[in-house]
Amino acid sequence: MKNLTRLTAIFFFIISLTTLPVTASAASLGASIKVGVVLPMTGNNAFDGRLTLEGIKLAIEEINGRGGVNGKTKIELVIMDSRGIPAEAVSVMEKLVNVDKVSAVLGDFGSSCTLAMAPVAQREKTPLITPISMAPKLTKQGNNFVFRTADNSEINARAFVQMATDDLKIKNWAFIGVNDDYGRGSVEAFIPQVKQKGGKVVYSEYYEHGENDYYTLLTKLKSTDAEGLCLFGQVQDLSRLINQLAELGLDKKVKVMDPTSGLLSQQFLDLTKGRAAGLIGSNTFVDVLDTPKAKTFVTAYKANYGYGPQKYANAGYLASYILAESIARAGSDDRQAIRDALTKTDFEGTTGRVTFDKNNQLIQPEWLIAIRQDSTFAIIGGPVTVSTE
Amino acid sequence: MEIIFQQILNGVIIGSVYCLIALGLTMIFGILEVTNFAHGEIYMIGAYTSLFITSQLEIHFLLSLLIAMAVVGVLGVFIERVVFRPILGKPMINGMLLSFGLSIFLTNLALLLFKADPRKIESGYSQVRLTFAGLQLTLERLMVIIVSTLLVIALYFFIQKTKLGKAMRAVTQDREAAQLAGVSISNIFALTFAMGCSLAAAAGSLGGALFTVYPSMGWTPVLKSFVVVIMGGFGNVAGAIIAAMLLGLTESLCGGFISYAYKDAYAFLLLVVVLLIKPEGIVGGRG
Repeated sequence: MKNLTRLTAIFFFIISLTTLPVTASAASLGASIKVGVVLPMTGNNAFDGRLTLEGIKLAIEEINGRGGVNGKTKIELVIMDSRGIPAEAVSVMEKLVNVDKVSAVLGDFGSSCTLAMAPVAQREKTPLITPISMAPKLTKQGNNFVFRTADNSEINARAFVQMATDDLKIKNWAFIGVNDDYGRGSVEAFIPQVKQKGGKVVYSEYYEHGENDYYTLLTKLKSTDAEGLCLFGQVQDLSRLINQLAELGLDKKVKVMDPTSGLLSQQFLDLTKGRAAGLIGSNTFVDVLDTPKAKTFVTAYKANYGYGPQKYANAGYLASYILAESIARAGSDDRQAIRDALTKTDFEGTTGRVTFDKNNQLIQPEWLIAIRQDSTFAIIGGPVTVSTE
Repeated sequence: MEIIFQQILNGVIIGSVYCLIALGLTMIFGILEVTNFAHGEIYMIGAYTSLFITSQLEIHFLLSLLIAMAVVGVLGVFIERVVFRPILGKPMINGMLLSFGLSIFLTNLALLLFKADPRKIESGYSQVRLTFAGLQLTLERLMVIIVSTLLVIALYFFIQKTKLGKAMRAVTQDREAAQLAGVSISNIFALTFAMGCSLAAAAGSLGGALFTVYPSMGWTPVLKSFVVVIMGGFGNVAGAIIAAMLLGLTESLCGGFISYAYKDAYAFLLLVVVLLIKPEGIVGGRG
């Protein structure tokens, strides 16, 4: 009787061994895997959002061109427009997760939108990778399904303030940010860093998306003794600000800085017609970056779209590759498996070798970048790698 | 002290842009009794027209402004005939919904044709910097004040002194009585729409040079212009001019001396205050 029990146990053990790979292969990769994309394609962020989408599309084309993930599974994108509105972002996220049944979601652009989507990602256990959103709290609310492949405001602030105080000798700081989670989050992340480095904050103001006239803001700035002005916003709005800043002659008085480097793009240079020369930013990517992956990316992007890539395009490209590589390691379209694989990322991307920290924040080096007189970019400082732990 | 005057100047310039948009809105309301939500898109089309003329045909900016006014004026006649004429005399909600639809249609059409890329009209005047008693502005910004003042004066003379202007005022006062006196209502409607659209096109050209041109550029200015129209008294031309200046000044002074982040709130707060004190609008009654 005892032997029989033992035999049955062994029997079931063997059965279970043989069935294990079978159940695993049920969730393994088929001919295609669905990945959702949520970006603003209309509204105030439409322009920058489209650049990110171009980066994503290029990466997916390249991957599928090689036969797909692992050389056999093609990635199928389901692209949704969030219009830059948090409520809209949540509703398209729900649709992607519940109706389209995607395995992971790339998006969104604005921090307000990604913050709104995060609870859905957690509830439905779906990895959500934001290539752009910088609000620090996004990766600090214990939501282990949210990943960020951009730097966050805190990392950016620490690296930038360190470089600006040491190399540019800025003491009196001024801040102008867009009035949303990204703008306010960035300014709030900078103020303690500046104080810690012995600097003074003499001015901080916010403007609304789509603002046209900045004379009021800049007139007020003129009456302060600011040496450095940090800008946090998007190309459309800030190109107008830079033009008006030059009109008021303020460019001679304050050093204009764009710590998040959203402005280091050809489009911005075209819109500001040489008035942006001398602008300084810090970023993880610029088209002159000297890594093998960055070089292939810049060449492929130019060939595809006719103009050079900037940080938003790279962000989309990098995030897509990180996701695809994790899907390959997970070897499954299961959302939980992909999430677990993402946390173990150790990948050679456009910005160098990257890994996620325990909050799912990507760790990558920052560079100090300047716009030259002839409207090209130059790396003038860095790399600085900081972690937030 | 210098800062205050600079902020007042800033307010007058932005007020001038609001004024040009609001004048068209208020005229169209006064005569056709239509709240035209698509007015911001007319402003946008004006800007794109001027952009096209200056960049592709390389015609001087001020001339392009006049051409844009003419082109968009003709477009205005077309829109009035095709879109608004059929619903004339129907409840006001029809006009509102129709113009809202037109607004969405035109924005998306522009998005399809021109993409979301922001572009800039190069007037050639923004490089010329003027300093006057410590106040700074560019020739381009001075041009905004000059052009809008000239247009407002021209509009005033047209409305007050010409026969057509009198006919327009008559239609505003009493549509049926004017019709009985032999005024051709349909011609007046077309003329009003054309003039309103021309003014918006002028504002669009100036706005496109000062700021940037993109498909959704009309949304914020037109929202502010609605505030102006309501504050000035619906259909009241003089009221709209005063209210536009008042709004521009409130924005720049409160934004400059209190906090800029709440700039849009001041506009609507001002509206609430004006409506509480003088519900019929700043210049009271229908003028």
